[in-house]
Amino acid sequence: MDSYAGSTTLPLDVGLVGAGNIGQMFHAPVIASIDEASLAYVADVDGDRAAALADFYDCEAVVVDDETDLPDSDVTALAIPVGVRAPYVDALAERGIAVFAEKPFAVNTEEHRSFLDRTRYVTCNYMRRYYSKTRQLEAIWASGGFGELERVELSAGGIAGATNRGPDHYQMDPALSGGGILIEVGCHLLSQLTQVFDGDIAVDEADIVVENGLDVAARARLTVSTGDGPVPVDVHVSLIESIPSRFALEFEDTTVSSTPAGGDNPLSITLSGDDRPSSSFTVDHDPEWATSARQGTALLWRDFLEYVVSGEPDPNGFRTEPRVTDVITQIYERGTDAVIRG
Amino acid sequence: MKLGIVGANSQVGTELCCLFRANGYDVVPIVRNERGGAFLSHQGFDVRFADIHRPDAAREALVDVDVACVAAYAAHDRTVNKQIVDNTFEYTPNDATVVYFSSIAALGDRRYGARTFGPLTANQYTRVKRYIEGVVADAASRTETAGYALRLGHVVGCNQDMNVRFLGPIEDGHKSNVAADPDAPSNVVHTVALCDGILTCHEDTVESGTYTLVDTPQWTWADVFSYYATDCEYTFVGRQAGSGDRSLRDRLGQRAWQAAKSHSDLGNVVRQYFPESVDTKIDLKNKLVAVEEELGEYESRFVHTVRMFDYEPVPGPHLPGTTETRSLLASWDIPEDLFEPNG
Repeated sequence: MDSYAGSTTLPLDVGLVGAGNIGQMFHAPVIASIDEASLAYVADVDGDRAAALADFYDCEAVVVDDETDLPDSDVTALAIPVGVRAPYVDALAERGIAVFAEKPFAVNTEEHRSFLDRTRYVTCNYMRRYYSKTRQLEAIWASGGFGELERVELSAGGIAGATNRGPDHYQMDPALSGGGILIEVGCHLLSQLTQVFDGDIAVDEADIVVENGLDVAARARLTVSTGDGPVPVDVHVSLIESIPSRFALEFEDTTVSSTPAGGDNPLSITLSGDDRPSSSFTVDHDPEWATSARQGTALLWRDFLEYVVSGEPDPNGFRTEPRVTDVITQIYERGTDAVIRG
Repeated sequence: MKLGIVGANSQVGTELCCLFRANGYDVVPIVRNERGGAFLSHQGFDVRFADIHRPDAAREALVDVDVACVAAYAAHDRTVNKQIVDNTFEYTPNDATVVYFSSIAALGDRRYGARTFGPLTANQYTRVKRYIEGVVADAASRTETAGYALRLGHVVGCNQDMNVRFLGPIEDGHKSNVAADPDAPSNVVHTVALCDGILTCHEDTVESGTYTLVDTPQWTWADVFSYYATDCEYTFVGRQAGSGDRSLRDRLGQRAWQAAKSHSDLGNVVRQYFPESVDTKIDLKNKLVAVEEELGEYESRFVHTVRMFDYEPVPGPHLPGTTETRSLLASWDIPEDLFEPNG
């Protein structure tokens, strides 16, 4: 279904489902701060939480009882666990309301495709695609200026510390969260990979470690197809080891890298085979792109709203990144409960 | 002896679990959720998933521990932190020992690192820690349980961010001038010294109460760097004046000078009425200051300073009866490999 029944001129009315941390920190303030949108309502299963956020932004508060009974809006943001999102997508698509979903987009490939079958006026908050360093890596790769690309590394995590989450947090329930560290952190890393590279991504090897029903580490060797041939990609996420946070393109003589998160951490260019401190250079940020998660979210919202009113839907929605979901699905299917260390 | 560590997934708690187990102690990590317990579960610990803030969970998780260490800190929430401590005292066996990890920040004094300008302006962390020390004393008295609040110095060890703060900047290969007095007491406490402190509390030779815990005897900054920064090149250049904590007088002086030397419209109007000799002196002073500032900026690139370098030695009472830290470091099995970076 490609129908969109909302306004075709900006600003658009946006409803927010989910008045928790992400709704409070990102979507409500971003929607309220950009000219392209206005916050129409805040809905949550917790009436008090919805009321507090709605009151602050002077809009309607809604206690969610029935996902088919949400107020009218042009767009609805779903800042709710991925495991409960399907009925909302169905209901909103049925009414021709565009959907801005939090990450991860879907629990697996099948669900991802089903969402796109319901509506193409949909996106996912992979805001790191808008980070300056992600765009700079994309530009560096596209330029070919550093020679042959030998390897890509994506890693994030570290020994689990304080979580600021109670025992009943949805992230402890794979039925709500879609999984553990791989889907939660890995989806961000892979969204940055798909921003840099357009080609197909194959999963060659995968290993997963599971503790207490949650995947707590995952390692995979991927191959991304490029015009210059296949490039190996090593992905590693973990809560059980001290690993670097790194997004690196390793060329023949040079490595260009940064941390995947931390939008304000710049790119470094390091000359290979030379240990002198002066062989590493920092790249200034590109002012056009984001240096924080909130900035990235705002830029994504703006682009999505323009997409919605353009009337030109894409088969993959607005950058829902099916390749991200596909890779994660394959890693979960192929990964074995094995020792990752070493 | 069974050691229960509430909030075992904290940096300190995680390292204590590994240290105690490596040295033959029976450790029970107690963590709120499965994600927080991932590393400890993977290392083979029998993690108890319990939110000690809840009485039913505390009752079940603490029923058989001989020593309960509270490493948890519920983000400035007095009520939750109090509930955790009260439940720990309430639901551990009567003959157990409870050790609460406070901080030297609870002293509420900028000389030892508290973020405060006076008794009424201490930040939340200081105030909550000080408050919970009182809760510990009350609970110990009420339940007639051996209870200790340990004001921990800067905790250093295999899994501690403090090591990175002290040493990270000098490990990148650049020349480094460490802005510390090498002979000044560092107020650090090694994790092995914390283990020893916990065991000392359980020996029942020390009266319940609040004690400062740093290394025995206090390690100087020279001791700290010589132990940890063995492959680094550095020079101690002494404390920098107000490094990170410049005095109000210094800051006002700097502001006044910047205002006076600026080429503001007002400054240019006023200067034209000065005698030439005075104007010349102002001009030369400007040029001298410009060089001093730029040279200062250049030199500052190689000066490694953190707030802790300027702190005074923390006062007591210090926990008595602790073992010399160097002998602990020599005799305890320290499982560094568990925390070594992979990749």
